[in-house]
Amino acid sequence: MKHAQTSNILEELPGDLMIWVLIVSELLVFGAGLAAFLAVRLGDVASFAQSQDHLSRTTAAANTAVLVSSGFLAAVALRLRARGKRARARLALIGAALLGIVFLAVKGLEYKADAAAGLTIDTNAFFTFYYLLTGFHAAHVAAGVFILLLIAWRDDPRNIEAGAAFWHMVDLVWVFLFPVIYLLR
Amino acid sequence: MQDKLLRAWIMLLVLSIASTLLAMGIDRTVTLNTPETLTALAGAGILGLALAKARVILLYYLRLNTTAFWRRGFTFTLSIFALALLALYLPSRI
Repeated sequence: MKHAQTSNILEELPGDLMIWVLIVSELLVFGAGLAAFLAVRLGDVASFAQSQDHLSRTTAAANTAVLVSSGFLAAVALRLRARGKRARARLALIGAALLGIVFLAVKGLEYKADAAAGLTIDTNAFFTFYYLLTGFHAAHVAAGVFILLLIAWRDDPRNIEAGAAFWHMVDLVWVFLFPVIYLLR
Repeated sequence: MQDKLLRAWIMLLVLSIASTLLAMGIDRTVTLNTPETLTALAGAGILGLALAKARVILLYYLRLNTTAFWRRGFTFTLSIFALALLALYLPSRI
């Protein structure tokens, strides 16, 4: 009876259970990273604030808009595919992937500007966390772009559901990463 | 506007702009010797907006609006996480 109840609750999760296991594990890793960032910050608040001032909030805010818009297209793609509109679903996925590439391009320009200013991963604790956390996130964005293009090609609804869920996880991480790294004084 | 996805997307854009403006507003006032409590409140507001954005993504992009159990579970867990971040942030402001 209990097994049946547990099984029913797990079946309520939209999509594949394993993608949710992945989502939760990724949230835990990034969550620990952000918590560690804030904990280390307590030891040198002034240095963290000064370092943060080197970052461009408006650029990162614009990138947030790019990423959530990309997520919107991925979600729309799933809906279109469920309605049998394969061509439009594929276009939406390609659009989502293109926006993901825009995100990476903007991030790359940020890194280039940071490096030109002499701000590297070993400049101080802030920038160590900054490069590790945003770099790790960018790696997920890159993987997500590849997945979006893959599911645009192999567009079985289950593939799109799983691939879109991965992309939304990347979004989910960023909505916490952006304010913690860029906005909290 | 009946399309829930479209509404979710617009809400995410609005919340993102709001949190950025809040942070930039505090930045402007920091040089005017803003009370630390005001900066702390702004920080709480920024984390609150992050939680709101996360909830929109969970409910409408990841479709947890179809299951009350998981919707509540994830909302509760992320709320605890946001509170933990706030608890780590506040000591520097009070």
